[in-house]
Parts: sequence; structure tokens; C-alpha cells
Amino acid sequence: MKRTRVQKLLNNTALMALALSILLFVIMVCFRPTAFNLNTIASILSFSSMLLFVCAGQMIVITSGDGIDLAAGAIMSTTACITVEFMRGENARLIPALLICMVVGFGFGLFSGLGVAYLRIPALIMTMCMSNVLGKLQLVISNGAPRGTVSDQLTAALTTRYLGFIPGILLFAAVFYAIVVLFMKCTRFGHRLHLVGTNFEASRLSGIRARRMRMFAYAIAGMLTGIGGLIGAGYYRQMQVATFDNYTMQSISAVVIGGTLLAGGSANYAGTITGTLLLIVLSQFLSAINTSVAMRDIIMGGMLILLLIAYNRKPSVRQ
Amino acid sequence: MLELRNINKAYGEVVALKDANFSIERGEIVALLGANGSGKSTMVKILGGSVKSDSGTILIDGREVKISSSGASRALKIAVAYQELSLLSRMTVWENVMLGHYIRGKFGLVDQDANREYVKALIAQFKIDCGPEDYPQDLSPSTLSLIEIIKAVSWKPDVLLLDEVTATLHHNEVETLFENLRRLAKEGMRIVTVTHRLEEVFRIASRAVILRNGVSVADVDLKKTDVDTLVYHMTGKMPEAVERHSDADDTGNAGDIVLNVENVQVGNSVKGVSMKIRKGEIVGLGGLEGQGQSVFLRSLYGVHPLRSGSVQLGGKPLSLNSPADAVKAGIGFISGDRNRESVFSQRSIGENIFCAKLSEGSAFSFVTSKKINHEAMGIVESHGIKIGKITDPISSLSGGNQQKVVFGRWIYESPNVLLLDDPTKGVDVAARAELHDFLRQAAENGMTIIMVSSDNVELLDVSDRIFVFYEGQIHATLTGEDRTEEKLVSAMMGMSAKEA
Repeated sequence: MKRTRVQKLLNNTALMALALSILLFVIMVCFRPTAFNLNTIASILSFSSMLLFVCAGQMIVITSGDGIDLAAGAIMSTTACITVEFMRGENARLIPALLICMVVGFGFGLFSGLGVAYLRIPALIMTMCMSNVLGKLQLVISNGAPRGTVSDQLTAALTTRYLGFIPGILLFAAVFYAIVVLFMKCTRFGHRLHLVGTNFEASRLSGIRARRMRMFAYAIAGMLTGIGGLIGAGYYRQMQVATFDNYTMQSISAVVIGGTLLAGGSANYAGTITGTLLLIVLSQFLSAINTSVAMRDIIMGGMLILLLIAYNRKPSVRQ
Repeated sequence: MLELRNINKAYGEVVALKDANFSIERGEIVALLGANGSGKSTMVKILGGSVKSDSGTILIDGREVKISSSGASRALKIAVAYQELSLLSRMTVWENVMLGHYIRGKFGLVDQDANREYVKALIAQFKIDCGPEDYPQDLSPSTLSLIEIIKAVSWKPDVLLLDEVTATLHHNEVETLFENLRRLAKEGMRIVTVTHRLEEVFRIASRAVILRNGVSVADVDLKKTDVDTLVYHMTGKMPEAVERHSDADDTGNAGDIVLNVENVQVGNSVKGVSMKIRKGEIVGLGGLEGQGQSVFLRSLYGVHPLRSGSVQLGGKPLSLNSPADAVKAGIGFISGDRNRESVFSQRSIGENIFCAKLSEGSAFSFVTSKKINHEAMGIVESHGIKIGKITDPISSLSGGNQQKVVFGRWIYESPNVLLLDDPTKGVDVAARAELHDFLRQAAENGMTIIMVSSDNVELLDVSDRIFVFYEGQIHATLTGEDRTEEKLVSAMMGMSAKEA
């Protein structure tokens, strides 16, 4: 069966998410014409960039098959707390702080991965427990409220706006995401991960160490999220505990809207970007029309449930 | 009388039963026989209510009945003891046996003592080595089989179906079981037994109904027939007995030996298998379904751990913890269960060919899609696999072409030893012939090939030597002139020269 061009466009989830973002943005502007300014665009781009750091990891975990990382937000919050506690405003500590965030994030991820891949605890439960542990760990690390800040230079680099609407954080996110995509597309790891996610048993019987791959998917996702923690702390300069916890659900929604198969085995790189954008535009839209925070959470949560229902199927296989 | 008339059942395009007939009188013990895929399991499942027939009638004492569920089957006083164990490991023996029909006491509560006593009596009758409070996980396979039987008997059925229940039983246990079955038959129970042990058939049953390719081809009085006739009805070939297997028939000098398997035991299904296989040889592993050949093959690939015995590959001892170790050691594996075990359906044809190669090397080493597709295209072209584009998902191909891609995967990886588990299952005749050519060509280039197949024609066609498995051991080895369907069939049924 030949597809028409229109059908092809409609099937391109990445483009659809982009179109929806623009549409939502236009509707928002219609509701509140004052929202149409460079500032709004810059803040949408900033928040999208920040969320993208978590989405990259989430995409890798989901691609590994039967996977979901409910600890992503907590890992980002925890590493953000560690960043401000460690940096104390000194720019010389930037590189060590980055390394610490990466190692710590990797470690948390590895622990989740170990539970999922080898102890065969369902990903949902394992990462949820991890998330709870990290929630309390943040309090322990920071004695209830993190003190200290990141260095002013880092904050400046992330929040500067080029041409009035391109935030510095976007450039960081672009370089970061390019490396992630390169890693997924051009290394054996990336190719193997897709095979493991598509058919675990077949990948094992092809000689791939499938369990190990699955474990490292969580670890690498944790590491990427750890980088996100540093960037997030840098953007806000100061930190509170649990700041990024809601990124867990947002990252899952964004990745799935973007066309990454929830059943695993198929990552959509462009889609994760546009899905992230759509999520942020949506939340901006909801706040622009004066919805309460609680109502916003209800709408976002409801949307995730609908998404899970709509996407949680494997494509049928020809017998 | 229980009667099945003109029963039809197809799974998709595969016909399991075609106008099959069966009948049994009260107090009779009838054997239901057939080779691989003859439809006997399907018939049992139809009576048990777990499979619905497409058409046909079932009559009990002349009255037509419908069996639409296992509940309906129970209501008609039919009980089945299945070969796959259905016991729950976290419930005691008595709970398992009485599950679904507990004896009730006051206020409808389960009367534990009454249940326990009832099960205890059954255990004593069948002389089972366990107590009513034991848990299945602590018991041996043969004990579990017996519990499976008393579970069916506990329903006091009019019709008792036994599906390969003697497979794991020891000699004395079989004896006790048969005494009990004769007693139950005398009390009026109808008993249908499905088994591959032909000598047992003569001891327990009075009549045998034989299925071949889903058709009931014969209904014979066992007093007036012999084993050869049974096998003839099952396979369409007169069996010809072969000498028992011995290690001495391995000719050629030792230097050629690529794979040396010594007394390998795996779980409970492979009980001491030895073989020496030469470079470039195609070895077939035949036998009825579930005689250990597939488990044995997979143990050579690191899927199942060896319980004892040793395997040497190229003179060096082989120790495998996973398929990944096997691939590293130069062993490949192709499964006939394509969707579950070999094909990555949404992934491209290129990736499906490259995936075994992909498993080698560091996870951080670079490999681009371009290179993958280029290399895969080389295999596609040199082996004339018909595809659309190399980037199309493999699910766009027919089953036969998908399997050719999977063959291509391993020809590209080119291991020293290639293992195949029923590789042409569900593949059309033309594609099958091409796959056989793949194998012959690979063997000529020095690859050693070991193939399990449920298809006798395929075994005879492709293999240089055939090891026939029977109950976890090699029952016979067929080489040269001995490779005839008659001999293969006789060995599959566990017949040997002495008996015939």
C-alpha cells in the first residue's frame, strides 16, 4: 500500500508534536496577546532545554524495552542539591562538580538497572522505590534546605540571551543532545540497545549480553540526568529540595508524545525534542489561562494516562 | 459411550485435525497414538475444553454435547492430566489436588481435615512418595506427574484423559499406576492414554486409535496387532529396526573432530549424551517432540547449564554461561521460533543481518547504519535473498524470506559451529529447499552444522548423520545406508533391533 504525502506527514510524530506546539502557542497568544514577546519565547526555550536533559535519559531507558525511569526527576533534584552544596559559588569547582554529578547519577541509575535487569524487579516498582529513597536523601544531604549557590559564571552562561530570545542553556542542551544522538546512532551500544528493546530473547540468542545492556541503559540515563541536575541548579542559581521531581512524568510524556515506542526498541530523536517543546508550551499555556497549579497537574497527569493507553501497544507482527 | 465425530481444527493455516474420529466405551482403556504434530494433543485439549473445535460433533451416550470451556468439560465429568505440570508451587499437595472442588464443611468453609483425608487416601492408593502437606517445589518430577494424575482422578470423572503422563515415571511407578488404572476401568471409568512408549500401550490399553497428520487413520485391537503395524499407521512407513547406538561408530581420525560431547546431562531431560562431530559435517538430531534433543542443542549454546559431562570445541574444553559466551567461542544458533527468538520485527533487514556481528567488540566502538547496511547488502546479494530495500523492516518479508535473513545473519558471522532448532518450521517448500542449500554450502566451506528437526524428510535430506533421541538419550545413530525413513521412524519410537 502506498502512502500519500499527507498520511506520511501525519504519521511523523516529531512533526506532529512541533505543529501542535505552534498551534498551542498561537491559541495562547489569542487568549493573551501580551504573552507574545521575546521573553515568553526565551523562557519556553529555557525550560524545554532543561527538560531535555532528563528526556534524553528517559528515552534511552524506554528504548531498552519494558523500561521506565520514575526516578529521573529525583536524580535530577538530588544532583542539583549536590551541585549547590558542593560548588558554594566557586567557579573553580565547576568541572569537579560536573564529574560528581555524572558519577552520582550513573551510580543511582546503575542501582535501578541492577534491580530491573538482574533481580527482575518491575521497572515501575524499582525506580519508584529509588525515587522515594532519593527524595529523602536530598533532605539528608542538605539538612532540609540546600545552602550555597552555583558559581555566578555558570548561571550567567546559562541565562544569557543571545539575540534577545536564545538562552545560553539552549546551546548547552544542543551540544549535549547532539552527543547523545551520536552515541545512540553510531556506537555498538546504541544499536544493541535497540535490538534488546525490540526483542529481548532474540537479542540474547544473537550473542548480545542483553541483561547487562538493560542495566547500563539505566546507568547512562542516570548519568545524563546528573548532568541535567548541574545545569538545572546552574540555571536557578539556588536550589530547593525536590525542585525537579515533576520532571519524571513530564519526561515520560514528552518522550512518548515524540514517538519513541513505549514498548521499547525504537527511539525518536527529533520527536523527543519536539515532544519536550510541546510539554513546556502546554504548561505555559495552562498557566497563561490562569489554571491553578493543582489543575495543571491534573491535566498533565490525565494526558499521560491517555498517552499510555494510546501508545502502549507493540505493532502487530506478520506471522 | 463417548464419541467424537468428524472433528476439524485448524490453527491459522496449519490443520491439526481433519475429520478425526474417536470413541470409547465405559470401562475401556484406549491409547491415542500419533507422531509429531499428528493432532493427538489437540484432541485431548478439545475434550478438556481448552481448545474449541472448528466443526464436528461430540456425543456422550448418544446425546450431543458442547464443550466450550474447561468448566463445561468438568461438568460432563471429563478430567485431564496434562503433560505440562499445572501444579501451583506455593500450595500444598492437597490444596493443589482439591483446587476447584474443595470439600465444604460448616458455613461453606473448606473442611481442611476432610480434604486432607481424601487426598491422603488417593496418595496411598497410587503409592506416591509424598504427604498431603508437602509443597510441589520440594518433590521430584515423577512424583509431580503422579500428583497431576490423582488431581484428575479426584474429580471422580467418567472420562479420564492422560497426556504423556508416564514420560517422567520410573518403572515401578508405571506398574503401580497401571494397576490403579485397571481398577478404575473395572469400576466403569473410560480412560484415554496418550503416550509415545509403544510397549506400554500393549500392557495397558485394549484398543488404539491412531492419528496421522490430523486424520484418524486406524482403530486397532491391540490383541491382534504388533508394534510394527502401529508404527506403520503412525508414520505411513514400515519400521526397520536399527542397531543400538554405540560410540564406536565414529570413524575418521581424531584430528577432524570439532565438537566432542561426553556424557552430557542437562536438567531432567538430557540423560547422558555423547557424540563426536567432524568439521564440515551436517548432523541431524531427530526424535519425537520433547525427547531432549532441543534442550541438548540449546545447552551447547549456553542457554541451559550442563548438570554434568563435558564439551570440547576444537580440542579445548568449552564452558558457557550465556549465549554471548557461545558466540565468542565461535558457535551460532538459529531458532525456528522466529517471532520470539530470532527476528527483530520492527528493525531493518540490515540490522537483522548485522546483529550477531554487532554483539562483538566494545560497546563504545563506532559503527554507523551506513556500514551496517553496506555489509548486510553484501550478504543479501551474494546469497540471492529477495528483499525490497535493506532499510525496510524485516516484518515486510514473508516468513520464508525472514528466515533466509536470519540464516544470512549467521553466514555473515560465520561461526565454526552452527546450531539450528527446527529452523524451517512454518516455511514453505521452496524457501525450505533454499535454506537447505544455504546449509550445504556453509558445510562445504567448513562450517559444522547440528540441526534439530521435527521433519523426517528434512533430516534425511540434509544430514550426513542422524542421532535419534529417545527419552533423553541417543537411541540410534543413522549413517550412510542406514539413513532411511523406515529406520528413522523405528528409532524415534524407541524400537531397537532386539525387540523387533
